[in-house]
Amino acid sequence: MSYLVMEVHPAYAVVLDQEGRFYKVVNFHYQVGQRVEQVMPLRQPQPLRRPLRRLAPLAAAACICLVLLGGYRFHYLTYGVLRIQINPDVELSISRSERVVGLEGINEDGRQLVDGYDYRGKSRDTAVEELVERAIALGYLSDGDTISISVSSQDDDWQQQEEQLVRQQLQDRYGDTVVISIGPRPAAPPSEQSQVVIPVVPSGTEDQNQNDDGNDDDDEDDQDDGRDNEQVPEDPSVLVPGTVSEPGRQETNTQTDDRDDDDDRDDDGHDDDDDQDDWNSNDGHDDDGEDD
Amino acid sequence: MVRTQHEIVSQVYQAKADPEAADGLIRQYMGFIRSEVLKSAAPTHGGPPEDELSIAMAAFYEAILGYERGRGAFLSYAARAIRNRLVDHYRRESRHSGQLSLNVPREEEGSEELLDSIPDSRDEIEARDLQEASRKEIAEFGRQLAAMGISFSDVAESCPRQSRTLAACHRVLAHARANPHLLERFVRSGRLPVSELALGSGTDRKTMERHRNYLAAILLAFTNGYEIIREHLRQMTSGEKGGRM
Repeated sequence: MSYLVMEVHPAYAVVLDQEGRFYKVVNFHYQVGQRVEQVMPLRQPQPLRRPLRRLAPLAAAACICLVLLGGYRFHYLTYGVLRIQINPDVELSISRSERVVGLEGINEDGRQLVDGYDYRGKSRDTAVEELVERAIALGYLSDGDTISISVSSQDDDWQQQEEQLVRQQLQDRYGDTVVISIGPRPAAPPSEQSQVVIPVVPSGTEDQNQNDDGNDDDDEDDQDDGRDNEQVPEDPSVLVPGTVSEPGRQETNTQTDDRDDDDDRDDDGHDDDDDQDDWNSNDGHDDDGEDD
Repeated sequence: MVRTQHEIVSQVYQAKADPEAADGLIRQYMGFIRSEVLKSAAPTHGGPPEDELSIAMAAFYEAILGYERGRGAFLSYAARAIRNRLVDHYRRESRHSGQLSLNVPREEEGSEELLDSIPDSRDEIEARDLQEASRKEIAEFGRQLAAMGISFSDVAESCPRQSRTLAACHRVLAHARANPHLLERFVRSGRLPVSELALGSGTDRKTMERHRNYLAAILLAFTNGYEIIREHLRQMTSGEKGGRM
């Protein structure tokens, strides 16, 4: 390609190529009318990237929106539902950040308990504690009664963790006066029936559970009865599925309940000890035999 | 200090619009350009860096065209432009690093350069005559363009860069050449008969308006008298005919 130099300036030259294009090129001491084989064209000035700059606030706004949305999800959307059954049956919707975002009474007493209670902006801890306090104040909950907690969420880990936290909280606060159980109370499938039983001194002032208290004089008997009464409706449902572990566990529960009033855990520990003793003795016997 | 900055910024903005002012500004800042070249010139390059200086001046001119107020101080912007351009140049040149320059002095005869030992096949006198004739014709061409208020710089700036647009402009040219009365009217009035050309060539009016200066120049080149320029452009028209028909 040959270029005809049309005009020269100190810094550049205008050339015409053979296809009719005019260029500004670097002027390597060209002269008008000269033909050159190679040129170094000037570069087009690139406009400031204003569009991007104009988009910048938009992008920032989008980021903020995302963050806010995340925060909203974290703080205001229901992540799991905590159900508390005393006698009043209430359901708390809880967000990921453990804020109460909804409160509903399931049965008549529950509605009464919830009525007029402002849950908004309260944490799960506070709300649970205040609700239980309310239940006590309204006379729904008395010593020796059972609080059943159940948490349902799509996140299994979160669900278990939450159940443990609530149980721990109530245990610490009311552990020596009421029974706290995990899992829904009525005939629903007994998923996790780990129960915490705490011996309590009967005060006998409440109307709610007066039947039990009135019938029995003994603490232990009272405890047993309470438990038996509770487990009566569950027994058939447990037996029907015919799982191996559940009935066994149930049996040990009932057996140990008769014997002592400690926690399930203690019961299990006791059984385990027995088993281990057996194993040990067996081993010893075998060893002896080999030695012989 | 602030005042001088303001002054140079307004000078630059003036130079953007006016090639004469740009030339003046470049002459005024030759010292600055030279110092920038010396700062970044490769030390291995013997002799005065003529090419580098040319490139740096062009880069300074590019900086004038590309400068905007939002880009900071002009001189530092220009210095950066020059340095970038020179770095690009050195990289491109490094491709030839294994080769010997023709400008290296020969070993035997002290003053002569290697270039002088190559037999010159060109006919110097004929070439000079042709260049002189070209120069005269181009000068006349430039005068006639200037009469229409168009400089070569304007033409270069309005020249289509996309081959599709270029082809569209050439269609306009072909239509004008097929209808000599349009060319005649253009030469007489100094104004492009845009509507007729647009209608006849099927090129968008807007495209024609955008490249008006270029079209004026290229149409003018195909009026009578510009034999050398037309000869130079022979490839374009012949290629067009061969390609189209």
